[in-house]
Parts: sequence; structure tokens; C-alpha cells
Amino acid sequence: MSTAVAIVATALVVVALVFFAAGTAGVLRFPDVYNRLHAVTKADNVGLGFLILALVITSPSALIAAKHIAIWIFALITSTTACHLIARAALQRGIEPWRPR
Amino acid sequence: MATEVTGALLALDVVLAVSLVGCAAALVATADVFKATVLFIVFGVMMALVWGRLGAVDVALAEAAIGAGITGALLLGAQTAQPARRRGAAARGREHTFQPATPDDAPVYQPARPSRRVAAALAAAAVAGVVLLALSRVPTRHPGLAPILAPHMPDAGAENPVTVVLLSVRAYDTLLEIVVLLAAVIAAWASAVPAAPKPEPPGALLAAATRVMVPVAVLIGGYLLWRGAAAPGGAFQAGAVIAGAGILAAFAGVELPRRGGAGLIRAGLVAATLVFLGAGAYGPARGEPFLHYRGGAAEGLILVIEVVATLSIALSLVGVFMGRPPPRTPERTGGDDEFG
Repeated sequence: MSTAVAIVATALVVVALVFFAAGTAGVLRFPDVYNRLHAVTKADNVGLGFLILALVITSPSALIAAKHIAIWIFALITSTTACHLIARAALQRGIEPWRPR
Repeated sequence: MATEVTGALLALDVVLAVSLVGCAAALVATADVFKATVLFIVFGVMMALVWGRLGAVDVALAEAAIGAGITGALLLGAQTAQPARRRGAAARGREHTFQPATPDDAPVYQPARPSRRVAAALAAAAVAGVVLLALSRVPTRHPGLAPILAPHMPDAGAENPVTVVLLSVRAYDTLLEIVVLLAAVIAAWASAVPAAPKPEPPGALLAAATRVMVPVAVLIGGYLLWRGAAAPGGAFQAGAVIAGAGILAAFAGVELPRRGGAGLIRAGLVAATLVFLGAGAYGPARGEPFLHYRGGAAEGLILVIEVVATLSIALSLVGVFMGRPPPRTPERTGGDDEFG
């Protein structure tokens, strides 16, 4: 791995960590389940994307890079579905979305 | 395994260890069963990472798939599907009738009497003491089982030492584990609670995601099974991943084929036990001990056992999760015929 690749990969991981931190802050600070879902699914999936990108450019082979990308795609599909199901269940239980006063 | 631990990895190890113990402590401390279940799942994921750091990838895969995944789903399923034996349930006369769980109904453990809590604390402390004592006597640099296993490796029929242990050297253990799983399914089905009313249709998004993820999960299960001969993976990990696909399909409302589905599932459940016993008879047929197969036939026998075991393990785990047998009469479309 060349120095340039290492620098870019490190930068990508740092960007990923910023998104993960934002998602975690959202889960802890946002007022209701819908807002928290929004934070954790959106921010974490973008963070995971940057992390995967860092792993892809440092992958020893194209096959391993493809596996990393596949992991990201599956995480996108499953977290989108899980987010939708949790939000739907919350709505069906009559949890009112938060509104600013 | 961890021979040279650099600063960054040491920091990771410390974070993992602290998180693991923190999760365990919070899990034991909470009286909220749902919270405890979520912490248990997080604990399983942390544990898998710890196994990975220790170089035990086989165990890490099994912990992630079975410990965190399937067991977590089982615990959550048990909470929502159990009869309403909760706060005031008996007083309202709805004991043993199904009621969907609501946040108000969430089971909460009453604190035990002080004498019991002291006894439990003493017992836990005694176990912890014994474990610490044993741990203090483990040599820090130990060759492990590799030297004992080395003479068996050449004609064992697999290249992954973990597979050789599980399916050749200690095949008895694995056979009995398969039988235990079968017994678990029988026990779960024998003590089945009344079927839950059919839940709301889960929505188009879950159906679409299921159509994508179930084939992928089956493919990954097959990959783990195939890789298990030479690299970390094998029947238990593969079976758990495929069982995850089955549970997902059940959630999405996928139903069994109209005819023959229930019978095929029952046949699949016992297949691994029968095939394993049959392979075990290979030794006695040649004047050797039971479950003794080496040399030329070993590779084929191990492959057949692993493939069939994957099927039976997947079916067993889904079967325990569903909690009741698939209906024998497919014409009756009740709420209970959505066995994945």
C-alpha cells in the first residue's frame, strides 16, 4: 500500500467517524423515535459507506473489495427495512411524532 | 494468538473488554426484560469481536450468528409471543390467552427476596473465583491443541483444524449437539402456546427486502459451509445464517407450499441425526470404532454430514423460533401456517 493510498484511506476513516459520531449524538439527543431513527440510519449508513470506501482502496484484491461493497449494500437494504418497520410499529402504537413548540 | 499488541490495538482491546463487561453488568442490573434482551444482543456482537481479536474466527462467526442473531431473535420472539402472564394479567382473567405485547404489558421482574439475592451473589462470586483461579494457571504462551491434533490432520478429511476437531476427532460431541438441537425442537413444539393471531401484513418494503436478502443469506450460508472445510466456517455458522433467512421469511409472511411442506420439514429436522449415525457406522462396518472414519472416505463423509447438518440446524433453529410445528392440514389457513 502506497503512502498516498494510506493517507486517503485514513482521511476516509476520519470522515466516517464524523458521521458515526453525528448519528450517535442524534440517537442520544433527538426528541422522539422517528427523529432518532432518522439520525441513526442515515448518518451511520453514510459513515459505513466511507469506512467501506477506505477498506476498498486498501483491499489486496478486487474480490475482497467487491465483498466489502456487498456488505455495504446489504447493510443499506436491511437498515432501511428495519428503520421502516420500527417507525411503522411506532405509528401503529399511536406514538405521535414530535413537534417543536 | 495476539503475540505483538501495538498501541492502537491495545486501545481497541481495552475498549472491547470494558464494553463487554459493561454490557454484562448493565444486562444483569436491569429489571426491564426488553432492555436486557437488547443488551444481550449487543453483548453477543461485542463477544464476537473479542473472539475475532483472539484469532478464533470460527467461534466469532458462531457467536455472531447464533449468540447474537438467533438467540436474540428467540428472546424477542418469546417476549411478544408468550401468553399474557404479566402485570395484572391473571386478575383480568386472560391468563394463557394470547395478547399482543404493548409497552404497558412489558414483563418486569420483581426484585427477589434479600436472602435469595445474597445467595445468588455468593454463588456468582464463587464461580468467578474459580474461573479467576483457573485463568491464573493458564500458561500465557501455550501451543493449544495444535500439537495434539497434528498427527490426525493428514488423513482427517478436512484442512480446517476446527472442522477436524468437530467432525472427526470429537465427532461424538457434534453428534450429541445435533441431537440436543433436535430435542430442543421437540420440546418447544410439545409445549407450544396457542398460536398468535395473524399479525398485520408487514408491508411492501419488508416483502421486497426479504426477496433480496433470503437468497443472499442462503448463498452466504452455503459459502460458509463450503469454506468450513479449509477455513473458518462450517455447518453451525452456515445453519444459523440460513435460519436467519427462514425467520426473516416467516416475518414477511412467506407460507409453506400447500402440500408436503410440513412433512419435508420434519424429515429435514431428523436428517442430520440419521446421516451422522449412518456415517458413524462406517467404522464398525470395517472393524473400527463407532464414528471412526479416516483416510479416503473421510472427506466425503464429512462433506455429507456437514451439508445435511446445515439443513437440519437451520430447520431446528427456525423451528424453535416458530415455537410450534407446521400445520399438517394446509387447507386450514389459520394464523399458524407461516412456517419459514
